Amino acid sequence: MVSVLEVVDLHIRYGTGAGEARAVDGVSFSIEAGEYLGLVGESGCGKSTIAKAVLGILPPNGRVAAGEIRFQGRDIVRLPPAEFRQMRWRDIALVPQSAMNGFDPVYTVEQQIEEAIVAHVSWPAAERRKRIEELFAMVGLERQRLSDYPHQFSGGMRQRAMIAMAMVLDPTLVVADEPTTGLDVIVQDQILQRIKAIQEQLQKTMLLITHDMAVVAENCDKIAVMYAGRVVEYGGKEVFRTPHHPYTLGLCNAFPDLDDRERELISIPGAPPSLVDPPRGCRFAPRCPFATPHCSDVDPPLVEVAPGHSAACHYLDRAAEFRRMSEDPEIWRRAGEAA
Amino acid sequence: MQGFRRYVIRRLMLLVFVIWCILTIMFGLFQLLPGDPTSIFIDSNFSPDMIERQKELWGLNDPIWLQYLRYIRNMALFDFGQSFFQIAPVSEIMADKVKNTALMIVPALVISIVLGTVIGAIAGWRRGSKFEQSTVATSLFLHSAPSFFVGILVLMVFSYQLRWLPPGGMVSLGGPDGFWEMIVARDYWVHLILPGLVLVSREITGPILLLRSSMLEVKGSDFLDILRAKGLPERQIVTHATRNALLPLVTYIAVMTGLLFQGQVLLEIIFAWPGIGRELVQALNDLDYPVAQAALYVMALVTLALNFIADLLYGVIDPRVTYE
Repeated sequence: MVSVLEVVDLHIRYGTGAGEARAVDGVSFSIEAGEYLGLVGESGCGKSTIAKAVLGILPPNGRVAAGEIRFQGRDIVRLPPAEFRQMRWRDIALVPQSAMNGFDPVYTVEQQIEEAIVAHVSWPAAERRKRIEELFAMVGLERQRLSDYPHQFSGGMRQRAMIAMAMVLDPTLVVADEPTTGLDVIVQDQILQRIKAIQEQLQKTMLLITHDMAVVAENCDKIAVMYAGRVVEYGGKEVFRTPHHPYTLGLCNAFPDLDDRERELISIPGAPPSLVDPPRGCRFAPRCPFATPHCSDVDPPLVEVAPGHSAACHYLDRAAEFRRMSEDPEIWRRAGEAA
Repeated sequence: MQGFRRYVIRRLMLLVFVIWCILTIMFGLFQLLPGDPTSIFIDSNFSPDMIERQKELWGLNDPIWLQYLRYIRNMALFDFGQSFFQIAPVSEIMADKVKNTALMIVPALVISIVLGTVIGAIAGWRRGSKFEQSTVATSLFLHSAPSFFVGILVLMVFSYQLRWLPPGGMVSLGGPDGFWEMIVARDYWVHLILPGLVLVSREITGPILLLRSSMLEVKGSDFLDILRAKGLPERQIVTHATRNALLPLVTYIAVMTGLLFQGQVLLEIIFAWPGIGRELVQALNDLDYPVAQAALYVMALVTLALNFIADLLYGVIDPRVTYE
């Protein structure tokens, strides 16, 4: 059985004034049918770039330098543009980061959903209308609102309309790129629950891009943690239960835990490295409280720590010790001063 | 809809106020102009007694406020009086000249706006391409070329040297008359080519440059990514972008038509086009006050009307505009 999406050693580069930025540098992961994969990391770690590449909407200065993106076994990077265009939305749909500006302001919501249908299948008008109404009902929007313009919708409604639009052709894979950015916390939660419900109900394969560890922990079956263009830890729920990479430890510390309200939130000091000229060894080494000289020299490979769980760190055998130590804010503070 | 109606009414009231201002200013100006009608119109051999009688007949001896009120009433009713030199009511002359000017301006404007929009949109979409660079350079060049100079140049080349096209006029001598006859006559279109071309070459640059820059702005919008992800064909995506980039053009068109008459006067003189601009200059030379006054008034009205229409249109093309 082939995976729905298989990303193999993907390299994506952006041409910038300062040289080529390696936004994505050798990333591999796969999503099986019905799986919900969360891709987490800080802003600028390359996670949205991966989403764009999967949908074929990289900006003009971005290019896939090497590697493959296989959708149901076919490499879509090298697909003829016309063929790829036909696949978009019908096979791979997007719930975008920017629901606020994701709709064209001068067309009605219905027109915009309809044009997605018309571009791919030849349904009669009545059937198109029926399908759109059905989806509006599914995301909890009134059908009278179909003829509204996007600015007449609230942010949450717009995102729900976006979800309806993404589902309209019953795609195999849905990419949700930070789908809750710019929404208030309550609406965020509603949107995520809606996505989760649809995913379970329709057995959708999902790729969720987010910076929010809590969201991934709550929703996803599989997690890929990205740092500076690379996957540093990859696996199932055990990535949160028994994190192995110091960066994952840092991320877990930085988000509140409802079960343990006493715990202090610790941020990771420093900032991600330049992607134009990344450090030679482990890219996290300059911010890592456990780094040794060896770390900044040699790049650690991604190795399996348990079946289906891998991490890229030289000191995986000391993971348990790191986990315990990382609960102490002092450790991180000192790493920040050193950097 | 309620809000829209209220908006239209308010806008109309403003329009009336502006027209009143224009009329009042014009009244003052024509009071200041040298010469009084009697000295132009009345034979110098008239006896003082006859002059006095004529003045009385025209109401020139009435107090100024009465003259002013009479003037406002007549202007409002489009009763412009009698020309000093042509044996026809001024309102008839105006109707004819407005028609002639429209016969030159309307085709040129339609071409400028439609073609300019398309060219500008493509230039903006293909930023950095040869097409964009040459379009911008050409537009700036044409924009700054004075139309009286370009007009004389094309006349010299295409009319006097090559003898391809007539040197001026709206139709040949004894050619078609009347609006509809002219529209279908080849003769009119042949006469339109040169002045039309000069007019288009100037007016088209505005929409081109505006659409290009507003397209550049729209190009950064997130919704274009979504359209691409939806797998729409490129042409449809460009249509979406253009539709958004079009919004500032509406305002621009109102301004553009307002400025239009400036150059129009020159073009009509160069190409001997019997339009309202030429009529105005002629009337000022002849001190034919009723005609000059009416010509200015009509030009102002047309400009105001177009601005008014543009304002209403804005709400139609941008759904986000409300009249609450």
